[in-house]
Amino acid sequence: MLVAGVDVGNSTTEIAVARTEPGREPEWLFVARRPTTGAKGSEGCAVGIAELLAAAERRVGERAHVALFAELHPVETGLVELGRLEELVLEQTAIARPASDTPSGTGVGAGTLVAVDELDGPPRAEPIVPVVAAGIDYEDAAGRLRDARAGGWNIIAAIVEADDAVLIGNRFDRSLPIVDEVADAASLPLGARAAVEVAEPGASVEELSDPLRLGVLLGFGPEEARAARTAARALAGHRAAVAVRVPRSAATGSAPTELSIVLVGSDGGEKTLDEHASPPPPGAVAAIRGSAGDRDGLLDIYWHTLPVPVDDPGFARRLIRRRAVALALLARGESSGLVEAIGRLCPGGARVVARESDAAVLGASTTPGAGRAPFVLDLGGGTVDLHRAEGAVSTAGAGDLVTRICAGLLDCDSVLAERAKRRRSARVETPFVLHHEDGSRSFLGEPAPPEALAHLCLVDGRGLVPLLVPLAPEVWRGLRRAAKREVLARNVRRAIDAIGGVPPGELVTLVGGSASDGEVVDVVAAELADLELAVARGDVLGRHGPRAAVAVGLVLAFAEADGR
Amino acid sequence: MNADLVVALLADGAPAPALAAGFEEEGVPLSVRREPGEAAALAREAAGQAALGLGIGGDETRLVLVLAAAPGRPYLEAPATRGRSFGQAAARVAARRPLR
Repeated sequence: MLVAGVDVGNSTTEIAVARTEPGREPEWLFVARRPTTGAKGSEGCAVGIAELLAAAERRVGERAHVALFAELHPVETGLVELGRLEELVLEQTAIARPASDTPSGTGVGAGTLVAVDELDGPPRAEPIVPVVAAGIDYEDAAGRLRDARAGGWNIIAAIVEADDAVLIGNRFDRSLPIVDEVADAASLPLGARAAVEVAEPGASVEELSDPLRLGVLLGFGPEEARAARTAARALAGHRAAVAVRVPRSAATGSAPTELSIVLVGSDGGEKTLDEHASPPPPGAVAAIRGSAGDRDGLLDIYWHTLPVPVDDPGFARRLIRRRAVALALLARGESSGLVEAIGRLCPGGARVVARESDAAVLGASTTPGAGRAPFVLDLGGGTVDLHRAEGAVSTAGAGDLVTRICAGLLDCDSVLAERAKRRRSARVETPFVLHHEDGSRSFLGEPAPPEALAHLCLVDGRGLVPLLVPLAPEVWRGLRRAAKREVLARNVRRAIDAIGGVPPGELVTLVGGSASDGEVVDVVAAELADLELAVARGDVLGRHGPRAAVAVGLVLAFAEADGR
Repeated sequence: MNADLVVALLADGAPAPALAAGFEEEGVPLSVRREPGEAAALAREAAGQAALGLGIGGDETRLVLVLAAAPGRPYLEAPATRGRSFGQAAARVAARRPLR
């Protein structure tokens, strides 16, 4: 009989097609994979499965008679940025803006916001911060500032909407702190108190990133300490910045909402998620409420903050201020709708033939030299599953959560983050010189494209893909490895702990999409070093690497049952 | 006197003040000289004169940046009406800052 083992993962769907006869080894005809369509376990998955079945039919010349499945548990991964939510709340009290990397002058100045047009009038007594709107030419702006100062205005800093700070500073006052490229300069509340700071090249603002000092500069009372703290955090790590105190009349007045995620334990107890604490063992949390949405029926929850580079304090502070928590939720799944939908694609219907664990162990055992793989670690997109004869422990958070963390660190979409997760990087130092992750340099035969210049780039076979974060390649490599360690290696450890450990000397076979990444295998092996296990990468059927273990295992499970 | 780090050879009608403003905003020195010719040819000639190997050529229609090490084709180019932003981009190449 021609059968198809189908493994629907969070990110990848795999199929293994074989002809099975009672008492004989399956004849393997087709193994393939594609990105999962729809949410795991939903009927949307049927689209991708149908394509794989059709591809198999074209190859084999015959439609698979039965589709074989294991039970499915969908996983949701997300990144909740508590700090960004706080900044939205902050806007009611203060506006905090980092500014461009070509400011003019240095130092800090605080005063009243005044439009350049108003400088024609009689001078005010207090220090002022003129705002130069985008339409004003730099020669004109510098001339008006010179005239205003001569006329008695006390100009202490300036905010420029266009990229003209140096041009204006050179024609007015080179030492005066002037920030530019403040996109919403035109909508800043004139008459309000503002503070402007420009640090020396290569340094970050010091006064605006200090909540007490910022509070003094903007005249905040003790009741506004929280706004000062959030504003200071938003500006940390930038060379130039502006903070403006929003006048009370303009404030919308709603009380700051409490930003938190509440964990509901399987015993019904509630507690607030502490993003810096270790997640509890699988099964301890049954539901969540709050900023990440409300979810019931959880089997596991895992979270981790974004890894922070110790050797780049400015970037580290910018990351910390976002308070980003990468979150994975493993929920009880319902896949009967999908099994029915697939049943219509094969003449013999669809069947749930085995627990995923049995399939994974059978599939991993086809690795040459493995014999029978007693412990199989499936490092997938959604979960890390530890399979053994007694069943599986699944922990939430795997390759997809690593991708989320990479996307959060790189400020990019998940498609680019997925590539960044697996590829080397290099910085284009000059049009001809690449600086690699190990600190070495190489010379390019053709100049790098201008858009890649001075950027951290992914080194892809086809070229250089620029990333937008100003990180050194060594620092990015450290963060990328940390993301893999904190999610995959930690979840491997949680799964092993949840089954009470694995006896020393046992063979642990790694399978799943994430196991095809050599860096992941390294961090997992390092995490398990103290357990004295033999950690090996699966090579399913001796030719598919760590892929398709469950799909192949489902066919083997069917053949075993059929043969009996 | 410093060597000419980046050289611009500009024919009549090229936007010299806008180009210079772009370099000034980025804090990168630029030596501007007047010379008749076509933008790409002027840029190649300028690159040969510039200590950093970065040459700009301009005429009334376009601006071109050429790397002395790869003179075969323009590294950046823009219409003459975009003098300021081209100047900033060329200055960023010289300063090894990312383009925007």
